Amino acid sequence: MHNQHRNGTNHQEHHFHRVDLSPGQLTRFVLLELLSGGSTYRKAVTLFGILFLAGIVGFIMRVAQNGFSSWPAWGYPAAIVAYILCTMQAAPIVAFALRAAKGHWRRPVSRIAELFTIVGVVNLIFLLPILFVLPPITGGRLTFWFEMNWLLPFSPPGFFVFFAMLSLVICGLGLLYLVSLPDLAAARDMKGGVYRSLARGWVGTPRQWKMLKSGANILGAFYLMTFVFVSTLFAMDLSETLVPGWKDAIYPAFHSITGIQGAIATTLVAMAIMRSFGGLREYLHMEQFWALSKPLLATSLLWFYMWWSTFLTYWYGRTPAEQQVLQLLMFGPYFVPFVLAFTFKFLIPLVFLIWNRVRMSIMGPTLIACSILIGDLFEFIRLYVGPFTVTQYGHILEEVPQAHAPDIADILIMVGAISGAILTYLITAKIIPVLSLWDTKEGLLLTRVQPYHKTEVLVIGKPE
Amino acid sequence: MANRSILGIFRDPESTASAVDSIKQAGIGTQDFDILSGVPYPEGTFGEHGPGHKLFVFPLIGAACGFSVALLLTLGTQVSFPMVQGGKPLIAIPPMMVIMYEGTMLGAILFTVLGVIFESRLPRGEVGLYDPRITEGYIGLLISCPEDKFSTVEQALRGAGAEDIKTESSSGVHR
Amino acid sequence: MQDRKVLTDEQINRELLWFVFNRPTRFWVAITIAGLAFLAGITAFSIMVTFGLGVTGLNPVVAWAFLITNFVFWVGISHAGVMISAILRLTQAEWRRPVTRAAEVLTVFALATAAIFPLIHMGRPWRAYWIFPIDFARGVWPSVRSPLVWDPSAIFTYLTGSSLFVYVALIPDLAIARDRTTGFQHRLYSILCLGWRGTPMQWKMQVLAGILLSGLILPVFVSVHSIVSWDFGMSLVPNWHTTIFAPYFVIGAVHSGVSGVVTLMAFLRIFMKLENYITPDHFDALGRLLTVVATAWLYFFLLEIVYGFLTLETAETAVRDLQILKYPYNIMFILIFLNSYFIPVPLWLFKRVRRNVWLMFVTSLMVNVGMWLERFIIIVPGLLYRQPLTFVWGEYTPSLIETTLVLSSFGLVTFGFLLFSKIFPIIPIADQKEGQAVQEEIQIGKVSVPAIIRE
Repeated sequence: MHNQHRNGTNHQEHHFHRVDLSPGQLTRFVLLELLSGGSTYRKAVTLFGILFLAGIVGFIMRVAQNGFSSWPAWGYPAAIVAYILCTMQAAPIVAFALRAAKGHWRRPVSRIAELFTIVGVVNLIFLLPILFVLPPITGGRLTFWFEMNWLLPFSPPGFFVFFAMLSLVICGLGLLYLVSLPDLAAARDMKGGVYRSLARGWVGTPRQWKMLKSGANILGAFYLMTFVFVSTLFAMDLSETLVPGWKDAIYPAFHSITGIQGAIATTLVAMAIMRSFGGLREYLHMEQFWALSKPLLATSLLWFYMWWSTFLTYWYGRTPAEQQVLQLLMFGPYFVPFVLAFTFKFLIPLVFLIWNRVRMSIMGPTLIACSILIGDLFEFIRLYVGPFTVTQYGHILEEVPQAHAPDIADILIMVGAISGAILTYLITAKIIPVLSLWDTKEGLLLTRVQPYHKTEVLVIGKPE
Repeated sequence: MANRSILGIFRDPESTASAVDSIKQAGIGTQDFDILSGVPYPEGTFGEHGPGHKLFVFPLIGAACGFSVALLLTLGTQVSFPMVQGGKPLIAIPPMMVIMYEGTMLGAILFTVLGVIFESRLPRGEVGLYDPRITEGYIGLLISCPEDKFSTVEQALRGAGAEDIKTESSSGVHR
Repeated sequence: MQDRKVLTDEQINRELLWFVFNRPTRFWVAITIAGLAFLAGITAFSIMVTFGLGVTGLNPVVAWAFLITNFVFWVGISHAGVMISAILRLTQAEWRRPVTRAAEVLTVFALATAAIFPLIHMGRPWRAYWIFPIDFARGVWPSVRSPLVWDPSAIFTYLTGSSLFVYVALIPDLAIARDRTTGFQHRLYSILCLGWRGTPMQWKMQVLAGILLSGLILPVFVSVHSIVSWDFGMSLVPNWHTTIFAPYFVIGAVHSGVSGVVTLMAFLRIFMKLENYITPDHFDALGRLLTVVATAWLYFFLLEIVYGFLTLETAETAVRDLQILKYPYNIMFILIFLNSYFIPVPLWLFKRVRRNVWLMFVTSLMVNVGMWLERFIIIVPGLLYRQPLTFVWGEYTPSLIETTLVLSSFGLVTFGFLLFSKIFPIIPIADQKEGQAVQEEIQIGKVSVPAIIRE
């Protein structure tokens, strides 16, 4: 399917591939083959469906055992909501960033990342019980917010966290709908049915295309900014302010960078799965994995940089409050999750991704991305479970609580939540195709592989 | 038999590429000619060999050297002047890491630059057979060939449309 | 890119070397003004060395003020080069070509100027060698636990790396200059270009050098301003001891640095008449970059303020109260917000503004005024109210000596930059030619879409 380079050159392996399909063939591939579910797809849906149901059972067990009044028991559910926020729900940022950077190689990747906005819907539901259990700010907990006596299901700060998350979800759904509109119109024309109402009046006039591209950029920018805002609130209200004496100004930014690193890792893993099982082998090549491995390394380094900034400042300050926080989060009861997170999120990416040979492969970046996702789980366990187990107020953490190990309900909730998110993605992928049809066709229009004297080069159109 | 150098000056890449074909047909190997240009062309444009190099070794060696020097420096100064400051240990690893990091990067950068200069086969005392028009957009095809093939190569260059031909005699005189 | 121009190699050589080989009056006027400003600084420094630090406004309470603010400011400006050059090289952005060398040279001279200020600030600069581990006989070694010892290592690494980065990329252009000169100039350029001929291996090394050095110098660039920030962050002064300082300083440096590049590009376009090379497209791209960077800076700025209030510590709140509500710091606080974000960024959202060279020049200057004040408002109020004991709260008024030193630093950077651009081409000639060589077009229906060639 990709162009062969001519004999007689000593050129190394080409990094560019072009799909050799006509627009009509491409449309049929995307709308007929990709939107139909094979046996692998059905097995995956069944598996994740069962695990999601197990998660619901775990949730019922948790409510039955602890109710909503005791927040230490809800540390693991809080951690998993933050985990999904900072991995799958952050993935659309990758699509926006690649679109803004105008790289030609991003076209098969964009929709894979954008589809993750749908995960926000289920994550918002997962967030609700956490907001119910959060200790109120009237008890002496530090907060950025103010007290409100309105008739609300949950008091501040939960109220504000909910609305921030809701804004993120709405922005994400708007973005997904907008960028899928031309493909939904193509599906309307080929298949009809529900696509008639989804595609509305899209016919592809120049004005509509202009609005789509501007809208995608604007909504993408808003998604990024809203994600950073939600991440900030999660960091402050669901984690930091639960621990007296924990004053870490970089923590919200650190939480956001963790999210961006997780976003890239999630996108890479999704790409690998789509390439192997999703029918996108001819569209996802080494070039895409290589290109994403570089920001993956960069965000891993940034994560370390922000962690180091906190650690060094606390190590130098040596105030009692700072020492207690270091003890709680890094060197005390959560030492093992900290070491595992550090290893999986920084050491392994650093050691392997500095080698060009690892970056210039499909397996290399995928395995490192898996490592980062594993590390993220341990990271959020130490950042959320630890603070949730603190029941003191004041200016300093007087006593560092013991580590809180997960019980069967916690494990079921964590597995169920991740499975529910994946299940949502899989179901949506059969309504909105994982390969952006219009984006791919535009790429075919704007790229050429052509001979250049004794070699071949890729010519990339830059209409902007 | 001693080799002589000959430089053909061409106006555009097409004629240079045909000239390369011609001299290959005349039995000149890819390691015996070089392209001189004022801009970088995509690798393989003229059918030349993609040059191999070991540049990536240099930053690794440099980083290792820089790391070692910085480690010795920081460890040595702390051991030589053991003064407790701010309750911190005498051998304080976090501050050492800052300076060791800078040392590592400095070593890597210095050795990278050395590597670039070395792999470029610079510095050259004499620029050798060369034409200033190369930096005006012309392309030079510099060939080192044995005496018996010299006239064949010269004819091949003229046949491909060389604007000018310069040669180096066995006494080193350029014409 | 909207402003595509087709230029021959000969035209590029001639236009970009014109300033090197000619002596226009405006150059002599500019370098004389810059030189005089620099001389004023030397005079002020001499007075300070003769009469002591008492001629400044520094006092036991406020030990760091104008001079250290200026040090931090110029380190910030120096981040321009790497941000533009390294990141745009790694992302293969075509619009980087005329911008990279000017930004890198700005980095070198800004950093060298910044490095002078701690020496000036010492009062006894002849003891500066104490910072280096070279005085074997005394048995007293610099303490690596002090952030003030980290500074020289970081600045030295960054300065060396940036200078080498400039030099390596300059080699092909030195060869072009060699081929166009005779006599002493020819000998000078011949030695400096190391015998460059333009073989494929040499070009490949150039490309790889650009990528490798960019990749190596980016972490150094992040570390330099982080280490400068830790001069403050590692202490327990309220408002200084916060974990956010490292990335906050870095993003502030990028903000002021990129704005500095915009100022510089506007100056080059007008002063050196480089309209063919520095086009409104470049200002458009820089404006969009600045919008993103400014927004990130605002996020960190607001986080720092929020966390100042969050824990309700008395000492911290007192400093914030001084910064935000008390004269003259409240005026500076407002100016920071307006100059660094709320005036320029809404303007930069409009393409017409981004493509207007004069508006970009003015807004970039505004940003740097705001950023200088931002550094001042971080450093001085915290020291004024350093202790919870109010009877040691102090005052600070800058003296004429300090003001002269600060203003002369701008003269020094301008002087160095002009001198460099008189000897070496300030826009990479070979890079420009490569940009011409990779230009292509794709025909789609009736439209010719501009394209580029990728290997």
